[in-house]
Amino acid sequence: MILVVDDEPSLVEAISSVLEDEGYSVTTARDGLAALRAMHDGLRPCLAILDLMMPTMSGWELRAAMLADPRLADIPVAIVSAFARGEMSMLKPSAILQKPFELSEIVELADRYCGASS
Amino acid sequence: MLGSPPVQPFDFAALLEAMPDAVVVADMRSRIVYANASVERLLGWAPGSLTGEHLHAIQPERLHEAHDTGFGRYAATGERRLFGTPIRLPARGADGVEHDVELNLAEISGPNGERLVMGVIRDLSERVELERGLRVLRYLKATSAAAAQLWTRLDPALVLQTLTDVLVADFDSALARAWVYEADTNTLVLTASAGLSTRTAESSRARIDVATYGYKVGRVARTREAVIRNGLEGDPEFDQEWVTREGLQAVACLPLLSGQTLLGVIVHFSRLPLPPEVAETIGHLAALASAALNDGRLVEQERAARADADRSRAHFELLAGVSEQLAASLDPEVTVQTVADAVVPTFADWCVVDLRREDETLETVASAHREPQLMAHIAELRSSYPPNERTDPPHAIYRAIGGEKTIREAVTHEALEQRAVDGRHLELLTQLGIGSHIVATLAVRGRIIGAVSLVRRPDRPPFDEGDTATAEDIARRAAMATENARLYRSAEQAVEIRDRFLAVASHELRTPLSVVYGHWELLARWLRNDPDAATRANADKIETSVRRLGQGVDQLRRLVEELLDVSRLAHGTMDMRRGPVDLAAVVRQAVDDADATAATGRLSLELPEGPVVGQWDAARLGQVLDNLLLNALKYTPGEGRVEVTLTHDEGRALLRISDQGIGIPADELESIFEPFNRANNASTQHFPGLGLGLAVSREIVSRLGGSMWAESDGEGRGSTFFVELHSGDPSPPVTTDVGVQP
Repeated sequence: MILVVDDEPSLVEAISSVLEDEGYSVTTARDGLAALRAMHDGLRPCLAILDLMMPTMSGWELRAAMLADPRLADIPVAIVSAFARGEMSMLKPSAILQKPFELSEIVELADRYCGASS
Repeated sequence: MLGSPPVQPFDFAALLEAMPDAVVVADMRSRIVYANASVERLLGWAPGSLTGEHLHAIQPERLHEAHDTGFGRYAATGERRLFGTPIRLPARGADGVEHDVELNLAEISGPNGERLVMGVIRDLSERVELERGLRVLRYLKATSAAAAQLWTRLDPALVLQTLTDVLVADFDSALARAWVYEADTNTLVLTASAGLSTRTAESSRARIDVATYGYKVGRVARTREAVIRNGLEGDPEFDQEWVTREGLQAVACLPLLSGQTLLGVIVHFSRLPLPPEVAETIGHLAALASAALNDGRLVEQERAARADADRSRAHFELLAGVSEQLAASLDPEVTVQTVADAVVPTFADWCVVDLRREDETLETVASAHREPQLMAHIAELRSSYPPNERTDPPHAIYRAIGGEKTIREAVTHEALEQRAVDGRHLELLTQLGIGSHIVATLAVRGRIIGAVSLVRRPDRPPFDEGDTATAEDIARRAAMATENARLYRSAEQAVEIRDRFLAVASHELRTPLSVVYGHWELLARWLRNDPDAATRANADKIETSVRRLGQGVDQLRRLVEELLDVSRLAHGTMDMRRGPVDLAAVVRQAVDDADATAATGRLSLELPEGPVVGQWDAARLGQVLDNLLLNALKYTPGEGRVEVTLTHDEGRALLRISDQGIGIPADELESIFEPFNRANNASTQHFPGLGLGLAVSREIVSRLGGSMWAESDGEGRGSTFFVELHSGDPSPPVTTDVGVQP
């Protein structure tokens, strides 16, 4: 299961479509809070793809909450952002995708972290 | 010396003629029977002309009676009261002039045995000359002694008192007086007096109007020439009873001059006659006093000039210090504080700088006090008792700002008591200390941006005219530096806003670009893997992606359009294409579009019956509506609703767009309409946006003759945006567009 957290529905649709085409199952959240609730309810994605700028709870806050929770800290996280890479090291991401990115990069990440299982 | 007889039988006549002393022989009837050549020479008679004259001829008239009595008694009785001792008395010359002579009398026998009286007369004028010389010598000695005293006195009153004292002590003056001349009023002011206590200064003479005063003092002041008068008897200018009683012989009235400049006048009443050479010594003394007066005047001028020079130097040092400090900083608050620190304590004991805020209220931005522990007092004074504009008179700051002039005034404790609102106020003012103050305005290009208040405590000399100029100089420099710092800061802010905008803009462009890129990539993948994809079951997915791609492109176009509008806004080239527009239709269309794209069921619309028509630009109004609706939906998370209401009443169309979103902080209700500016909570909560939509929208509404504003109950409590437009009557024509639209 791959979690895509982004407030831009069009982008979520594109990412979901390509991953589903590749055979992965995808769940989405519109903001950080919805994603965090889902994980507190037991969701354990093999990869979380996070946008940083979102209303209600930003990607920064969500990532901080994940790192603070031992059950969630190990989940691989790919950051999707328009910001420069340097500012994101403190989020300890597994990967950084700078907008605009290629969908093939998403597929590569999915293959790396979730590939064997599905 | 000739004594009494015996007379020897030899040629007496030749002897008598040769004698230097004058010899006169008279009979018992006072008839002159013989006078030698010396008598005639001494008294100015022609040779031989005295013989046969009565002795009265060579006596002053006043002595005639005494002579007749005494000589008659002697002739009758032989009583020789005056014989044997030299008698000093005046003799009268042929010209009436009296001569001091010494007379020795002897009785001799005439050729016929008759009694005759011989008088040997010795001229004493040399001795008088000598005595006069000694008097001059004594006066000159006194003059030189006085010189030392006069020299050391620079104060005119002391110089003149010394002068009159010297006249009385050493120059046989019965009364001496001195006046100082005041040129600007043409008046003599009685400054010193010595001598007769019976003649104290009468008030009428304490000040003498030079132009009109008829007596000697006035004449001397007018002509600058000395008057010496011997013999005061019969002079109508003097009280004769006083002259006789005091035995006054002469008066000297002299001008005190430096060149032809009149410094004063002295009057000297003498108990001795004042022959020219004696009067001259008084002239010397007067000259000496004049020189001392003049020196005093020059020293005073020099001292004043030096004080002026010292002042100027201090003034420039102070200004140089202020300028140097001002140049060192571009922070307005730091700048004005350096002014306050530079002028305390050298120029003022304490200082407050107030700047005018945009709403005209004052903000204290800097202060200094020579006793730093009193700084808290200044803060309390300004916060608890701020300058009041409505008192009578208004606070000095308001008088300075209102009158656009510098206020300089001395402040008494009574004035403070009147000004104080209560006991604590008075306590603060008293402890800070106010003796005098200057309030100078800070003006930049004719606009008053504040005021600097400089205060001296009561124990210090109050501010004077020269200090006003210094204060104005300081204020001018401070105002310029403050303005420079403010401009620098706003330029810095502009650069910062631009940098932030560029960062935001690139970020905002990247999101739709990602959407476009992603869906294009999806379509490409599908087509590559299966060229017939479009005909298969996944036709829905393809259609969605194509739509998303279109929306992404549309979003990019909108952003680019927004950027172009900002550029038009900055250059004033945003033109309107005006024509009859139904606002209700525009609103309905915008709501439908918004509902279709993003907000199924979250929008509600309330419209008036019938069209709302005005001379507007339909496309631009549509842009405003889109903007406001997208904003309302963007900032209203979840299922929050957005209500759109249009009302129309008496030519006034009012559009309200209310959301249940994150709200707007009260102090940002205005600034959100500035280009590149976004409310703080919009940025921190990562809502996307360029911060341009509202600026552009307001400009459009304003160009259509309407207005636009926002209201909010605060953060998290929703916002309402209002657009007000005037329908029916077209507002004044605005430049119509000729193809500026791209």
